[in-house]
Amino acid sequence: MTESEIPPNDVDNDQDVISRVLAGERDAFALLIGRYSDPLYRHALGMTGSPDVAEDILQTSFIKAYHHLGEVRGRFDAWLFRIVANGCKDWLKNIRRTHLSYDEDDQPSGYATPDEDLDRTELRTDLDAALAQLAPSLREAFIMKHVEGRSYEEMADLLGTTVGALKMRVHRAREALQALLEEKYA
Amino acid sequence: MLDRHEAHDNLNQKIRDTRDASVSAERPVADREVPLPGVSAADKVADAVQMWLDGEATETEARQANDKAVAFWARVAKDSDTMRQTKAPVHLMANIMAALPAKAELAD
Repeated sequence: MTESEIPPNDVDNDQDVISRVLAGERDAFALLIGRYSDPLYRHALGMTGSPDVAEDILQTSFIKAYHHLGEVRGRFDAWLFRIVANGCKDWLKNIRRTHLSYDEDDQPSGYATPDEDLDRTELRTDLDAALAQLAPSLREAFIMKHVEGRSYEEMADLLGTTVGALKMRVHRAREALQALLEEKYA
Repeated sequence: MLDRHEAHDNLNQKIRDTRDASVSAERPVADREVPLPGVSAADKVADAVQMWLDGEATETEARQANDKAVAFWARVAKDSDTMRQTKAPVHLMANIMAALPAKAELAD
């Protein structure tokens, strides 16, 4: 998804692949899934903290993209990213609303199941738990910058906002995370 | 707002404080220059550390500002490098393709 991951020709070819799919070559859609599923999965995993939820969001997003493929104007990767990003934020809103109705101690660490936790480092588990406390916009900015390794310019392009606003979100996320975790890990 | 009782340690308390902050921050104030409730001035990440993390200052400059913070963010960066290698499950593509109808709908 980042410019370094996708050769320029592939980006140029997205529209060709879309044209083939719209012309009835359904299997060509697999090219787009193969091209973008890894970076989008990392985004969804970072946002939700759960491999199962990330997989569900990706599956739903790609199916939605397929049904609306004829509506793509401009960059397909940015259009697809917004579908996934909105899916993540909708899920976070729903889970936050659900958890606010329970005792706060019931809130799972990073929303992951115990089995999923077994595969994680302690730092990753603590980071997910701390990220889960942030507003979705701060969490999204931190994940895009630190986990996905995107530039502020690329983030601004994908999210339709300014570099300055995103820098502020990332800085605020860092402050919150450092306040929560530095004592344990520094 | 959530009740706060039975705080067991500083980390739990800070998580509770920041959780309260995130609830209010979820409203459209995320971009305002206001402090996050639960994050004190002492918790502020030094400017040099923020600049280092943004690639705008050297590690030496950041360490001079806050050596402990640099050690923390170096650990986070190492963990993030591992996360960056994560791949989507191999069965995902097959599941998506199996769920698609025969032909994409045309817009308009």
